[in-house]
Amino acid sequence: MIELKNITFSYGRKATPALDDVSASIGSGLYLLAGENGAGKTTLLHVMAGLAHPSKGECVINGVASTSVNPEELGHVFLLEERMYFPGRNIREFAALHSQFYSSFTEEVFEQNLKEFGLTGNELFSSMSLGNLKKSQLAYVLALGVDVLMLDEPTNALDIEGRIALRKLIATTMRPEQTVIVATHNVTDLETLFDGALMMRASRIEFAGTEELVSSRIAFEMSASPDPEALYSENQMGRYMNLYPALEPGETRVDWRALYSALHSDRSYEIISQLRK
Amino acid sequence: MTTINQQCGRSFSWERVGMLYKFNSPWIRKQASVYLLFSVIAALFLLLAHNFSGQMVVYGILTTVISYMLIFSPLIFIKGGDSRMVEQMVPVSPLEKFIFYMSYLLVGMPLVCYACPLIAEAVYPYLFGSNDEFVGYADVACLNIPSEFKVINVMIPLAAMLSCLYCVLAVRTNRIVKAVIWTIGVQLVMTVAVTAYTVKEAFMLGYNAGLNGDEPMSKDEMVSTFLHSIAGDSVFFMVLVALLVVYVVVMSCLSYRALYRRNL
Repeated sequence: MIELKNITFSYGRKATPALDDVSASIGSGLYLLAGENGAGKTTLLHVMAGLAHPSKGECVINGVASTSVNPEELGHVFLLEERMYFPGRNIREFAALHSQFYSSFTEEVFEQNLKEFGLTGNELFSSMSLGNLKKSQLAYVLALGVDVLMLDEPTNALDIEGRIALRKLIATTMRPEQTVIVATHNVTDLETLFDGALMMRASRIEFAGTEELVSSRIAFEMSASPDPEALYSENQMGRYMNLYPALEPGETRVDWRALYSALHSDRSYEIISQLRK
Repeated sequence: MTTINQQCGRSFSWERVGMLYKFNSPWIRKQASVYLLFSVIAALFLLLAHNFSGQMVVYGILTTVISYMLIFSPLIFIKGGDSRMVEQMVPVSPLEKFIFYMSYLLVGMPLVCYACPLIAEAVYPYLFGSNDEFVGYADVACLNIPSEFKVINVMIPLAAMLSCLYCVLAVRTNRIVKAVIWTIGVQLVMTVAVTAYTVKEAFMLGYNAGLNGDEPMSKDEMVSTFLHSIAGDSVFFMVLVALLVVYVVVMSCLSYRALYRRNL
């Protein structure tokens, strides 16, 4: 369980807060972290990984502050940044050096993940494309098996096969008690896997909740034309996704992209009111 | 599987320090090999080129290069890219990381750099007899020079090396350039301070001797008199050593803080 308690963080004393009084609770499962550029997604991931210290508030992971330097707690959290440098010649060498610190790392899962991405693990980092580099890093971090895994834009630079493989690997390697937070703009790549979402706007969390919560408050229905009665409608490839107040919990599947767009539209107030009912 | 982190938890663990050595082993191995090669070359040069007239000059240059390599040895932890994020997330306590860095830089590296030249200097007189022009490491340590100079000779490179380590651990951008500039800057300031004082004192000694009409001294007498006269200025040396100690302590604390805070 991750608890964000009134977190405020600025890059410099006089700078505008990158996170402004952010609060949320995140349970186990796969969570989408969405928001426009500069909303504070990466900063929030840094705070959760203990790599940025909030000026106010705190982030607590399984009862321990994320700023803790206790090795036992540090071993439960890992953040893979969008462009992250892994020292070593190749992912196999890096894994041999780095995995010794993580008790939950599984060699078999690592091998399986590499195979799924079509890599041997011996490809040199220096000669790999950005996409393949990302695949090798994903193959490793998904085998780490840490309690809290954060992935910043994991699908960027991945080809179609890579995205399919990532989706499959997340679905197969995730443990029920694990929390995986995926910060991404490509919501559709992993859409049906998300158990919940945190949606950010202008340094604040606009919405944080589970799929159950959303589907109990809002229904998502596709139609040929926009419905003026709907809370929100958007064009999706020539058809319209309409959002209505849910009549029964879980009657429709959550469309995270539509929800994100709705929260960033001029109907955001109505959507948030509906979610908070 | 029970791991070291579950066994030791919050308590200090030498095993985790050892794991850090393993984690850094590819870079440490490369650096130690290159440094060892240089120190072996210096030692072999001393032993094999004893008939060569420029032997001591070349040996001096080689050992000076090794000294600078030692000062800049923390740069190896940059590892060819920005690996700070991976390293800051490594589940090892700040104290264990600090001990890893200090043991490697203050024990391991000096051993690698100076063991061979010291052995060569020790066996040199037995093989070739004494050489009057030769003043090596061992001789410097045994020379009749004031101990304050020996302390300063050790403290200045130590201060420079710790400045380099701090830059490597704490600076966010252009770490190599900033570490090199800062390290050279620190060494330069300290060297200039000592040199300026020494030149002033030498001038005053000569000036006073001239005024008093003293008998001219031999070169050795002059050096010895001069060194002991400036060593007698305890205030200057106390201030200088105190400043260096404070600087070394501050740099160590700042490096530890950088490891503790894990701020990107």
